[in-house]
Amino acid sequence: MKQLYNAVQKPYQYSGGEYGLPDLNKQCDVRFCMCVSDSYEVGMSNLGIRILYYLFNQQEGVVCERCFAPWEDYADYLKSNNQTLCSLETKTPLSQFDFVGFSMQYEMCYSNFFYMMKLAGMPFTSQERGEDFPIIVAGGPCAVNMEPMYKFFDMIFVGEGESPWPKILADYRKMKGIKKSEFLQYVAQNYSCIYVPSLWNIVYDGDVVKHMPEGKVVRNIEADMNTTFTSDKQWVPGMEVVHDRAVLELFRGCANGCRFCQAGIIYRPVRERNADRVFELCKSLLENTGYNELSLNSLSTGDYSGLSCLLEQLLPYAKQNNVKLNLPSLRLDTFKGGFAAGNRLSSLTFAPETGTQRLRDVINKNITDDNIMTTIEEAFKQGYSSVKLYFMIGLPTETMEDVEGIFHLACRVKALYSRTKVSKKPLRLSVSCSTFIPKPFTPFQWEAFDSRENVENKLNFLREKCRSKGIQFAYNDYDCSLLEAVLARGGRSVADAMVEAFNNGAKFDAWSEHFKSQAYFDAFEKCGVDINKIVGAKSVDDILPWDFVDVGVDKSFLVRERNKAYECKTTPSCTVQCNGCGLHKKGFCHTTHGNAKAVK
Amino acid sequence: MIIYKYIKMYPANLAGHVDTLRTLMRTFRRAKADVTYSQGYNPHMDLYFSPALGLGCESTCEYVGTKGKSCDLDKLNSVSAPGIRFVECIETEDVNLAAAVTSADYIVKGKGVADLHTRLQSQPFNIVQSGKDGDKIKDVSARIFSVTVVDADTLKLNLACGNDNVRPDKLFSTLNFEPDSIVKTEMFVGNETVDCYLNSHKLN
Repeated sequence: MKQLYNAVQKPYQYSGGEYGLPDLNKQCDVRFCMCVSDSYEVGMSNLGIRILYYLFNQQEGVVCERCFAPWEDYADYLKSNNQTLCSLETKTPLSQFDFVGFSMQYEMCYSNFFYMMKLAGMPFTSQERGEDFPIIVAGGPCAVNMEPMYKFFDMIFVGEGESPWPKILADYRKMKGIKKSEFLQYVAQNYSCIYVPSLWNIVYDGDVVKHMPEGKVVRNIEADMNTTFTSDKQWVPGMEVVHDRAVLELFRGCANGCRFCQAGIIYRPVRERNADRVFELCKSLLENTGYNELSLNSLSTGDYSGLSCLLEQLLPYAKQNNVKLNLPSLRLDTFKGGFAAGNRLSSLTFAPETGTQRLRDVINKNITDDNIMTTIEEAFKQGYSSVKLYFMIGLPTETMEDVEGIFHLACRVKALYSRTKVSKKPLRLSVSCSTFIPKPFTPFQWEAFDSRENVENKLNFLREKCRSKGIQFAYNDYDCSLLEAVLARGGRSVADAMVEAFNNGAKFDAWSEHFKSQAYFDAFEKCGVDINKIVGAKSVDDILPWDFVDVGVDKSFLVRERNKAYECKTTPSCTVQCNGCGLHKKGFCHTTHGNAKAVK
Repeated sequence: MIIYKYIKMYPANLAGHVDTLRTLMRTFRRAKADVTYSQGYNPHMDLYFSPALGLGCESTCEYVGTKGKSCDLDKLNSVSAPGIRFVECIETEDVNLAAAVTSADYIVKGKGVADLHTRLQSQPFNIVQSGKDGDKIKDVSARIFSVTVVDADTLKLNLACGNDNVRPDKLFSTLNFEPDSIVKTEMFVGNETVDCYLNSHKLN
């Protein structure tokens, strides 16, 4: 038998053996395998599964292991040794667990679910698995609309898992020996955040929903980030992963209300962690892991009301202990150049999103031209010489004037650098454009995904213009964005095409060198999926495939926001006024008013 | 300089040299070892290594040096990564093991590996080296210093190690043989073992 290290690239990812794992030898009667249908390097960087992994392993009688999508060379290695896909820690075949959970982070990871299930020797559909095989669960951000994958999961967990999961696992322990179908009935009845697709008879006519049963699946929201489970330990892999640093959440949710942003809706409301507690957790994490880099995560770090207080304590600690601090997700209206103080100046990334204020107002990105230029000027004065700007094209009401505005904005940044730079280095400016995907649970969920012709025209224009000025220009592949749009907005009619696409060779779709768009287009054609209908414009009266999920925000709020978008009217942040999204009447936002805006 | 001797076994042998460097750095940080850092915007721990160990090879004789004060071995082992264990610590004057080491002993185990004893000593012994400019054929026979049969399933090789280096796994893949294990057991500076060499450079 060939040695693993001679058979595959980066063999460490298949052996496990990270520092900082919990005790897996304890007595247990429930075994859970936590999977991410992407590579080890990507999966191990995910904070969500890390939280659940440590949470589950703390539960009496429960052991949780991990598994990630193996690369082709390891899949061949398994086949040549007549082995099936196993967990990392104890090399237990996935088929022998009680639960196999997939954290669905991104639609482009769906095909790897089939890849992993096939390697594990398990049938794809819930029906084929019957009473045999583990309970296959999905969770993560895509769980708000997993209808394209409805027939493959026994249950889907919607929302944050810290409170319900220990109870679900304890229930399973008590009921051990119960039939799978009975357990699924039980959780569907007792946990409103659990969706058991087989128990929901949603009727379709082609790709359109004709009948939606009564009832709702309700996203679970953890009320208080200061008491919700968090671990001050973190696994430390022995090989480099994408986010190879200590990571801590400052808060969940975002108060800004950008209309294109799904995360801003499905993670509401804002719940902050107390700054002193954050500092203690940072210290524990750094001491327990030995990492010399720390990332403070959230959807909009500059909005954290405790940021000054935290940094007052953290910056000197970091300097004394040779720790590099990362503060990603900084908005242009709350960025302070002082964040850079004492830290190495790497590249700064900002997201103006659009080239004109008009379109910025449509999408409710409450950032002005003045914010953009003042902040970037501040950054240049601090010595930054590398800036990346994110934009979107294909937004509702967009015109060529808006697209040209992207180029003009980039030119203004270039001119600003010449005037204000402190660094002797030449400016490295890059512009990155993604194609807007109107996602479920946003005010734009009824909008059409922009056509191939429109997008290509706009990108060609920007590419030529940027090249002429020495500005780096990056953009997303249209087919990849189109597929993401189909999977994000699709319903049950897409499910059979998912298997067909996998059989056509689709896997590792999130990796451009592996993405095979034709595998999907052929599958859609064969299975009669009308992708234009799925990604095309919808009426606010249509029943949407995800309408049975209650993420906390009322549909009426989304409609109001959509109307305001078309009138170019903005909605202020939740911290300025309550905009009646629906969470307040459900008991949220009473004791906290979200982030306090930085005082200017 | 404080030089630590450590063992690198499974699963740590599946991580390459640069990853091992990071792992050791984090171990010293977890142990709160009193070590020095470089200056500048991006300070990194001052660490000094013996020659890089090929991925997959295990070893009972790896060395890493730090500047600063020595750290208790039990403390280090209480926070070390799976597969890494610290066995000795010695304070020496500044040495550069990466440059000083000239050869290493490897114990290679595999069914019938002793049969390769003669072929391993053939001249020339050509291996294929992949590089930026493509594949090149290289004769490494001058770097195979000795091959000793321990028993039918065990060979002991003494190979060039350090600036002139040959990886044992490369020799066996060239011969289409898959060993069960390759363990580096000793390193040498000329004729003396690294342990003796370090002792002769010991501070008080």
